[in-house]
Amino acid sequence: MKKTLPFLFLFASLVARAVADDPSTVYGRCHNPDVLSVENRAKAENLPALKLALGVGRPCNLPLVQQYVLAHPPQFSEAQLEQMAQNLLTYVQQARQDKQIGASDNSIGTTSLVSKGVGAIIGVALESGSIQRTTSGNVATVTLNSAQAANFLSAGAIKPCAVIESNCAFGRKLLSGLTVMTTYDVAQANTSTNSTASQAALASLVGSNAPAFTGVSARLDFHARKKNVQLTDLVNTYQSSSYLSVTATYASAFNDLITSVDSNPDYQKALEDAITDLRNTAANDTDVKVNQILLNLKIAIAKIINNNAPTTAAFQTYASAENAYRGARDKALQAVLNKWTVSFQYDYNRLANQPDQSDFKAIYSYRRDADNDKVLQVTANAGATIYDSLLGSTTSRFRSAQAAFQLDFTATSTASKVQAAVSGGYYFQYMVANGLLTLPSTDLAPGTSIPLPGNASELLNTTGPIHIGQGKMTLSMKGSNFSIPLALTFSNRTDLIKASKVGGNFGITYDFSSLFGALKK
Amino acid sequence: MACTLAICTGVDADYQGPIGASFEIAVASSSGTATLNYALYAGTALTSGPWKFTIASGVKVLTLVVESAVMGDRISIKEVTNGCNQVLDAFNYTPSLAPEGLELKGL
Repeated sequence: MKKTLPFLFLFASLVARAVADDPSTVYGRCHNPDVLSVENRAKAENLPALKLALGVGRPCNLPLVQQYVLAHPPQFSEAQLEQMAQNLLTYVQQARQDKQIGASDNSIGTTSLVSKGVGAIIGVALESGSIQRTTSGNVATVTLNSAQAANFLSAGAIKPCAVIESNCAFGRKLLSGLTVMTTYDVAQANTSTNSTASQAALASLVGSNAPAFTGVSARLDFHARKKNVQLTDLVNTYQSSSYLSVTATYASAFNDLITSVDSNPDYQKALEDAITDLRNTAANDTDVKVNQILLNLKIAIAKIINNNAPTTAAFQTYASAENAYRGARDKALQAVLNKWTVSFQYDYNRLANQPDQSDFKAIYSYRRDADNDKVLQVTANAGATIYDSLLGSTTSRFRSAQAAFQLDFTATSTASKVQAAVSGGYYFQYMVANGLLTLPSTDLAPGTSIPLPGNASELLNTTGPIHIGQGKMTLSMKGSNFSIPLALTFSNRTDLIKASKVGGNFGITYDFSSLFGALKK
Repeated sequence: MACTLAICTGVDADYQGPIGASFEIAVASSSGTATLNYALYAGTALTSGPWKFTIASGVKVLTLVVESAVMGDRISIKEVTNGCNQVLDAFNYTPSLAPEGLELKGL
């Protein structure tokens, strides 16, 4: 881990330069560019305005210094890296019911009847019990949003697109919307209730020999912004305790950093020198010369940050707090701005003794603030599944079509210590093709004891509709970033067995700090 | 009505004022959606208006966390003490901005 991080930071800093927005922005020019014009910069009456424009405390100046510092990385300690990672977790918003942290509905271990409208940022879920599969299992799902991964690896240099950012660069926009999930079967468990001996034998077959790696998914999320946002809605949003507590840390870290830089005599001298140089430029001096003076000032401030231990520490605390703040702000604004989301998801599934399958899914998600901080979430899915390989069978490659609908309601106030969300959903699947099984071959290669690859066997009469209903409760502790989904599912059949099934699904989802801590050990 | 804060002539601060005098801050923006969400000065933190502080001795940073719902919104930081109206700073909003940090010197 220690050897890998510097490499990753170097790589990420290079990527940061590639995807950074507006590289032409120049320190000091973004507030009052007129004061730097030939006519104005030498006038005595403009001296205060010139000094104000060059101060490190201007909202657009510090990010430029920060960008420079991160491109010439300071040495972050392991503890600081861990703190930064933990702050990223504030993006994992337990109050939101439209996040997909666990496995999809097609997994052998899932608590989800539908795929949710927003990919989780960084999450780990352990879930037990299938929903529409004949086979049940215990599945671990690792979810990672690519923008958050890039943000962490670049120590904050690559920032995810903010919720309100309408002109986010394409690279960052793609990273922000792309979430990758991998699922692993951690232990094969029970199968469904079987009505006949032959079905028990079948369940026994498909319920064994499960691969450890059971699938990978990739999804892209697209958010629609609400127009005509009311100022009162924004003010109320920014008065939430979850936002204000993070903001207090952020403001305090910023205050400490600016105070630390400002009290450094080298900063005062660099500022004075820059002002003198600018005022001494001639009318025929070009912007290139002016920009060089501004660049020199930016580098001087970056060096002050890097070369003075207390200021370096203040900078690192600020960078860390800034990550947390952006997460809290996005969370606050999403409630106001992002009313609905459309996502497209691809799932590759590896199933025991069945051909690999691919799912293509469209996901629609809408959230409505029902009563102050109580949220009603509507999620709808439509999808299709194909066999990646027919293994010699003549059945249709198009395996099934699905549609699902779910309502989630946050039953408790966000102020409550124990958070509870109740859900109800309906899932419909039509099996267009019969189920396929990969039966073990008894043939051996001539003259050897090497078994030939198994042949597909078609399960007759498995086409037709599947109806599934689910009731679910998700419990979580405020501030803990872990939750326990408990679900009861009813179905008229599963994908391979035409027998009704009543089953329980449960799980535990963990936040990234737990994973990060475990990795460090 | 005269404002409390005056432009500082040295490089050590942005604005200055008499120690113990109070001043009030406000934000305005072209879109009307800018909000001042948090203010911190000399150990005093405010989360809602009126955004009033008292000038402390030495140079202290006035930190203002300002947000808007519109990209590129022109935001003005103003002093509005006793009805005065003085623009202390102005900038175009983007979500990647840091807070505003004005250095105030108590005299």
